[in-house]
Amino acid sequence: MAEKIEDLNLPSATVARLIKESLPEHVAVGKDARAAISRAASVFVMFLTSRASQEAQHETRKTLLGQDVIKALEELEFDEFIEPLNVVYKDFKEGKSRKSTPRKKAVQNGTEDGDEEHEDEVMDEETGE
Amino acid sequence: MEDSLDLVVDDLESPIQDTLDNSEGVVQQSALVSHEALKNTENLPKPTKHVKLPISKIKHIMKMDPDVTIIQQDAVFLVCKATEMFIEYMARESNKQMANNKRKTLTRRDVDVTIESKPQLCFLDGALE
Repeated sequence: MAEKIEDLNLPSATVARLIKESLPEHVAVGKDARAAISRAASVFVMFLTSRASQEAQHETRKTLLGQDVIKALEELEFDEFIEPLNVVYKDFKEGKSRKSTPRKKAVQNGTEDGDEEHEDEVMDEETGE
Repeated sequence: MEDSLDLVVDDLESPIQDTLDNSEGVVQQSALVSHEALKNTENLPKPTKHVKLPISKIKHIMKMDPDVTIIQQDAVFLVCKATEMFIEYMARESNKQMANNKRKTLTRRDVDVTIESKPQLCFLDGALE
């Protein structure tokens, strides 16, 4: 499988924006510095993943879980990331649970009116087809 | 039946307007969608992007690790977010180096010095070609 090196690169515009937003306005960023940070970030992904994978293996798990990533960050001495990360993680999980509500079923079933009342009708329609 | 359809359309026009800008077709096809379902759509969080880096790309890099088979969605999210923080961290730290030299443009050299000076960045030694 021919994996191009470029496949590892993160989108330069996004990286540039992240860099810019974390610096004072008057500071400019050279192209070479941007490229270096972008490259470093790609390596970071691989490094963090590798470490997280080890955590999972310690617990004889094949699935890489969120907790493995958190543990890996601790082990790699990036503790300062953990607290803010947990805050965003909480939002993310809440957003996920909000999305997976029963209302999705109703949309797919194509009910015209209140779900519960006409549930039987809907069932009939579905099986009928 | 028709009455309830009218109710659906009229009721939803104003509140839904913003969230369903391009979906007039959906409102017109309200026969296929339950009133309840659309009502709940108002309460859906507007697609707040939790991450700026592309999740798919991050996942792609993670999967290059031969020890990694199954990755939980949360794990990808956390790696993605941690990488964003990492980019910001690299930018800030490099900026400190630059400030020491009283320049205003971040260069590759500032990044290199940062890597050399921080023990947790030793994984980047020689990794940036």
